[in-house]
Amino acid sequence: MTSLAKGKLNTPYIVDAVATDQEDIRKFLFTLGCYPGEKIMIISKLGSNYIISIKDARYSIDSDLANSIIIADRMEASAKKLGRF
Amino acid sequence: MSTVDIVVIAVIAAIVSLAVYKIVRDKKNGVKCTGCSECNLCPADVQNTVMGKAANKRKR
Amino acid sequence: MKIALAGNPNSGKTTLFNAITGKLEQVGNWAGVTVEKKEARVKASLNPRNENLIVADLPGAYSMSPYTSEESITKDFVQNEHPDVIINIVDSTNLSRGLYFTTQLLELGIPVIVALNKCDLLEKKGNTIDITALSDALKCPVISTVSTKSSNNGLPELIEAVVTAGKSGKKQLAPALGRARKISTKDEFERNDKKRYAFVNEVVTEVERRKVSSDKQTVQDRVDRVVAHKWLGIPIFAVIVYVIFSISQSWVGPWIADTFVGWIDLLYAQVSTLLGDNVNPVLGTLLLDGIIGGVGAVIGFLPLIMVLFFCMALLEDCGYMARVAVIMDRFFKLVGLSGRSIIPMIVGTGCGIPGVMATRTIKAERQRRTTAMLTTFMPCGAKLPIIALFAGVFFGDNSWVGTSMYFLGIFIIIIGALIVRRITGDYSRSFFIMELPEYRFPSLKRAAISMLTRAKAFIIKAGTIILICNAVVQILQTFDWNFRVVAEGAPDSSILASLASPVAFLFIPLGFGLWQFAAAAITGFIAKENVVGTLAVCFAITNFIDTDELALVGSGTDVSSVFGIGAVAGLSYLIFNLFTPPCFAAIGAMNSELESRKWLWGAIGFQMGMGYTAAFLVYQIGTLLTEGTLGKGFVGGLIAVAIIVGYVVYLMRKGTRDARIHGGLQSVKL
Repeated sequence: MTSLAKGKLNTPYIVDAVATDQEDIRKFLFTLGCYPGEKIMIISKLGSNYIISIKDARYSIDSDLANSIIIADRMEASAKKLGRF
Repeated sequence: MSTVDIVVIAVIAAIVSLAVYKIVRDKKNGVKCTGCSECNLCPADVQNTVMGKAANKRKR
Repeated sequence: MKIALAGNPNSGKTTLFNAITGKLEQVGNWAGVTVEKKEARVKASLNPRNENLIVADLPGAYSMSPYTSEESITKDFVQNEHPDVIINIVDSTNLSRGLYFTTQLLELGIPVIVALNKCDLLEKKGNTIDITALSDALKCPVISTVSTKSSNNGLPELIEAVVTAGKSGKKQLAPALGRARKISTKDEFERNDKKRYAFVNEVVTEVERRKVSSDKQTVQDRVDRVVAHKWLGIPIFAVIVYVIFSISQSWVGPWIADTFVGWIDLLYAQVSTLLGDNVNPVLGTLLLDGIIGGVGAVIGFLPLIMVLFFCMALLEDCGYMARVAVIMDRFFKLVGLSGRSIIPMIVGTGCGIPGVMATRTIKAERQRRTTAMLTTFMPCGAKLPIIALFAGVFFGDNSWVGTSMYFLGIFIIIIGALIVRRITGDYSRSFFIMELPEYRFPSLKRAAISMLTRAKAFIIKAGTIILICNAVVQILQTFDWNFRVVAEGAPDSSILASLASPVAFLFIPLGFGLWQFAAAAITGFIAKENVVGTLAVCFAITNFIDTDELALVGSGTDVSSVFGIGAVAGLSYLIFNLFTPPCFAAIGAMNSELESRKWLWGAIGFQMGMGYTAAFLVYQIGTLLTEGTLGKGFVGGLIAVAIIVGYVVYLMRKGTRDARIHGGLQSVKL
């Protein structure tokens, strides 16, 4: 489990949490489809900006935001899911 | 004063009053800033503020 | 019947609005073009029974829980003004995100019609959506639309469905949550949100068949990697701006301008012969130099500006501007702004007033105010004639002049933001997130419409405000304080000269301490086009664009000798006019956005100081480089600049110290 900022390019990840104390940014990301359990992918890193793909759209986010999106790769996510049962 | 002078005065007066008329008519028709093409980007309250009335009525 | 248009940003609401009302509101291929609601009637051809249909175009929102202030406008409208029907525009290429907002709209109890837009793009991607199944699942009509097409676009069907739904008076059912219940706790909110998305996911898997997964790297992504590149981004942007300026100022623009200015000259000559020698010289010059010459000098730049606006509209339409925001975010981050601040600045290249107004979309107060006070440093449309004039007179129409003015504007904004951050001591940072729309081939029609509306406005402004100002300037320079006509060869005794001379004195260290230049700078506060108009009237130049040669301002050397200043001082004057406070109207807009007298006066003071300092540096350093000596009035100017800089440094130190006391240095807020 790591933050999106440390993720690899072109690798599908699953959002595990949005770690910020700001409720509104978390909600905003939710409305875009970025919430625990959803797929997210880094398309490219451009300087300190990340181009990411959520649902069917491309967004540019800065590294602060990328740091606060906690991701898991597919294996971890499914293991976690199994662990719950 | 020659006839030409009077004609010129009339022409100048006509041009200037036409310009003033246009501005006044625009104001009446709700066009706040004569000769600004960006009204479509500009909300009514800003146009009002520019005109100096109803400023800061907006709620944020 | 009141109809609300709601949907995600960049889903094509305004395009649809224009298509069903026949209006020409500004659209752009990037999120956040509409920041206020617009209302209009449905056009007659779509409203055969002539019913009272009023449509409101709302700013884009991703959901009913507002994150940005444009989103809250949408929320307030839908919840407070009780529209009879909501048209929910859903971008068919991003169905699941759009439908999340749809589920929220469905819960309001107001009939919803889903307009599944951009269906042409969907087809191009090879994906399909089962419209009947979607309509069944959502329990509301779904109409597929292509609002960019002029026929066979689904719009008559859409309006038909709206009228039927509005008349039936049935309450909308909410399929995602069942019956809407009052909820209060945060947990319940979250549970509902999850339920909505679960519902949406279910619907999407059921109705959508897709060929290409959106996760694949596309050509667009490759383009992004180049144009928004860490190092290449800025140079590419510079090249694009340069190309736009060369097209408008060196190739196409002058070619049209030549013919056009020919007509103005012809008019001048004909009126001149018509008047002959019989006319009173005062009246003759008022008509010829004051009205025809002054307005003509401004209007002469029309072709050039039209070409420039056309190119800019194409650029906005293709989706590149969102990438510019990404490039700029990096630099703006360093000084406490974010890429969001670039949107007002891009809007500000058309007119500063909507630019300042667009700062409303920024949530963090210090950032919003900083952007509002710095946005007008981007040269607006009214400043283009000044740029064109000085580039023509002193620099042989080199496209670098215009380009560098835009980049100098950006540079000054960055410096300004740095200073404001230090003064306020507010080091908060904000997250930056921006949707990157898909590139598309820009619409020539839309660009042409945008160009023509701006051209029309330019002509109207020249024929009204500029004309009146020119006439007043002409009268003021004809008479002295005893209302006697100023003697030939003694223009310095005119009312205008005596009013402007004290100001001109302050401009000596900037290289243009002539009352004509001072007068032009002052009338520039009424409207920036006046700078060109007043210079034309004061120096009795009828056109700045020579008709005998193809080159714009072929008589450049002549005009510069009439001006009596050199190229360095010309550049200094250009910079002074671009980077001093904007026109009064824009200052009014700043007043309403800053919401604080202290900030307003701070902003005006800062802009004056910045304009003066920049012009001083350019003139003195430029003179030193070209002539090896310092310019006129160096010592006086240096003292003035030292006072300005000293005061700013004092405020910056004070701000930082206060911030340390209050411990406000570390916080990260929105």
